[in-house]
Amino acid sequence: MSPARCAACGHGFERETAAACGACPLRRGCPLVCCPACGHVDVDTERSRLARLVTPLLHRRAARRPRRAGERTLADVPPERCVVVRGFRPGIPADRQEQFRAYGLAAGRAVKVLQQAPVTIVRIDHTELAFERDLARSVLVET
Amino acid sequence: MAFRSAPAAVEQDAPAGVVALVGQPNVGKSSLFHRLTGRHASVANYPGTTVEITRAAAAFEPSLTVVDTPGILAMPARNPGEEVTLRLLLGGDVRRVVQVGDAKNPRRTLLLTAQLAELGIPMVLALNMADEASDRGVAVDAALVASHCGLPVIATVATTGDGIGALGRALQQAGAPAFRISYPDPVEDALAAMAADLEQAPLHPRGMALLWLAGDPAAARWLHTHLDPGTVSRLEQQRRALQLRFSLPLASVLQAVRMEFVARVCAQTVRDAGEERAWTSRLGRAASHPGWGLPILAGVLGGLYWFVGVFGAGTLVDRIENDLFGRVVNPRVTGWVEDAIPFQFVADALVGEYGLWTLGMTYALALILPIVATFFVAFGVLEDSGYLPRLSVLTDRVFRALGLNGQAVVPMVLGLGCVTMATMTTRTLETRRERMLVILLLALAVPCSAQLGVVMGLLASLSFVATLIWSGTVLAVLLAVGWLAARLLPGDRAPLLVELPPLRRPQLTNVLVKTLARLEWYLAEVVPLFLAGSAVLFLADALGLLPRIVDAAEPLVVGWLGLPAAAATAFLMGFLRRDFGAAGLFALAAGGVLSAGQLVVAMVTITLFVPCIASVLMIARERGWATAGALTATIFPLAFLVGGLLSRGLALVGWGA
Repeated sequence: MSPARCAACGHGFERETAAACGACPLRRGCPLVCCPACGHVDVDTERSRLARLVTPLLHRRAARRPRRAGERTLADVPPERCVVVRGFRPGIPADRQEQFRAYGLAAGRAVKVLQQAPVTIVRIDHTELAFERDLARSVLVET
Repeated sequence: MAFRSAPAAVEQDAPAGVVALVGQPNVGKSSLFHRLTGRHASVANYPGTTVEITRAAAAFEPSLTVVDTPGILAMPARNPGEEVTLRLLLGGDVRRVVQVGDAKNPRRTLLLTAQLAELGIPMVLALNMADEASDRGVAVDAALVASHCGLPVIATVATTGDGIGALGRALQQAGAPAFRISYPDPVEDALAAMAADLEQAPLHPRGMALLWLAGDPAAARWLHTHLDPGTVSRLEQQRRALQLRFSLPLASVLQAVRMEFVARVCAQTVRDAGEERAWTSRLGRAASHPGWGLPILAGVLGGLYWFVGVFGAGTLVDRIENDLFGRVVNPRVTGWVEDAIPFQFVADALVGEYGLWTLGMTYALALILPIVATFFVAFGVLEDSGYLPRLSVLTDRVFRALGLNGQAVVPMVLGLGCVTMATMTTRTLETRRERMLVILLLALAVPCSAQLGVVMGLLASLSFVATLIWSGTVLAVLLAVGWLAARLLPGDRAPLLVELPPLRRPQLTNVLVKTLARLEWYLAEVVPLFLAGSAVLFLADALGLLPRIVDAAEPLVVGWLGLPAAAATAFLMGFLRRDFGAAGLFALAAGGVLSAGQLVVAMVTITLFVPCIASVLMIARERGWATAGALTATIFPLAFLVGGLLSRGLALVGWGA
């Protein structure tokens, strides 16, 4: 079982040692977990099969969610423009972020968008990188 | 893909000194391998074409074995190809590492340098493609990079041989890199605590601990096989405890520190005028452009069809099969054999109707070889030009419907050459799910060039409508099965993320040598199967089994598919190789036994067969016997089902009776 991380305060902790859970009489089979630092209650997806099934669907919907005001992504940049990368949207898997970084697409770096269809193509230094627009939507850029 | 071109002796007598060429995809590792050893590793301008390890003795120091490895973007390994490289480094034989880096992208290169240098293996950095870098106004101060990273740095141009001598000399003197980055204190504490448990690791304990912390699968496997369970669980606990101190995954924490280091080094050592090379980059942009890309694609496909279909399968086969084999070679061989061998049975086995020479070798050399050779030349040109990744951009949308992404186009196009070879290159795909889907589609509905040539030759003699019915049915099966399988297989689709290397003019010698290497591989695979096929048919015929098999298959072939009973022989051959079966149908059609409708039904059925025994063996090697068995058990009934339905459909509309 991997360590848990509190969605509210970001504190990392082992599920077994979560202090609040240890004292709870309903602990056995309970799919919820309490953060020992701030007390925030969250669903433990490793224990709840239903949550495991539903979470990816909700995440997928979240990925399609219209952008928040002031949040600009690579998918919004018209071709032939240069932008500075600000970071990645929360929710994009860590190994995907590392893959982007290994190609040089990292916070603070300037990239030039070459085209947006059929997929997004950007140039970072002298590397041209092509990726689907869903991935482009997960890269935040300076406004 | 790379072929093990080195003789077996080199592998057995491998001296203690193994030099591994390691680097990101598409930086010229295989070209450099060729320069260092004088041997050929398959070179292509497509990321991820080396999926196996190629090895040969170094030209400058024969006691050293140089090993070419699949490209690795960064550690930890993300796909089986990258894992191959990590496993090699962890194997304990590697005495030196040459990191091959792209001189025009120093930032990316140095990020991997930092990771490799931490492993503690004596190492040299070759900043390759230095000519492309200076064309684009990128200048790297190699001496300064060397002092920052604590290892020799040599600028090279593998295609011309510049810097290779210096690289060889640096390699002979290289020591362990004097390189160390300071990580945050908790990480340093954990590294120090783990060092004692990792003393016997083949890498520096600090490097091994860093791989383990980053979650590298090859490092984990090494620990589980070489250390006792107690030690592994202690290391596991240390890693978990450390992870709890950071909000980001440990791999990202470590990589962020390295990126800071690289940014500092680049600020001092790299000047980039930011120039674009005019015509190649403009052409490259056009090739992936939604508007211009399609006419260019049509042009490429048209060229491919003309070269392989018209020139290879038409002109060349005609010349070789009819003129050379039909009129010159086969009559002479038959004459010699009949003069030299008095026993009729043996003579028949060699030059009879199902003779090893007259059937097996003639099919292999006269019919199949010209088609496959022209295909490999065309594919080699496409690979080296850098067009294939652009093709994956253009076709991404189609593959999305099949639960894949555009990167699947490369194994699929290669499958048009040889499905067995293409099955091997599925290793470069990112997820297990993608690899399974592509292998299924390859085995079911992608005809290889050998078969395509035979099918095209037959259908072209019928009518254009026949070609349309055949290709339409096969394509419909491909899309339907792909669509269905994508929904049935668990897991999410991996979105496309691919590097577009610059377009380059293919080097003729490289394309030719590569074609020869592939043909060597192909012939070694194909000729024994063709001979085995002929032998099986000859024996079945001689022992009187053939009529019985034909009788047994009658309900299926005659009743269900509506074909003459003689077609069962062709299907029997099709179990060995489907192009062999198609060639058998070719002979039947030439005898005027089949109507147009029957021919199309037979062609569709045999196209949907499993390609050949070799491809089944390759699937078993890549995905295990259970998968190979399940695929075979699904594909044959499906092929007959589609064939029977098509037969009824055609009868219903009254076509080709």
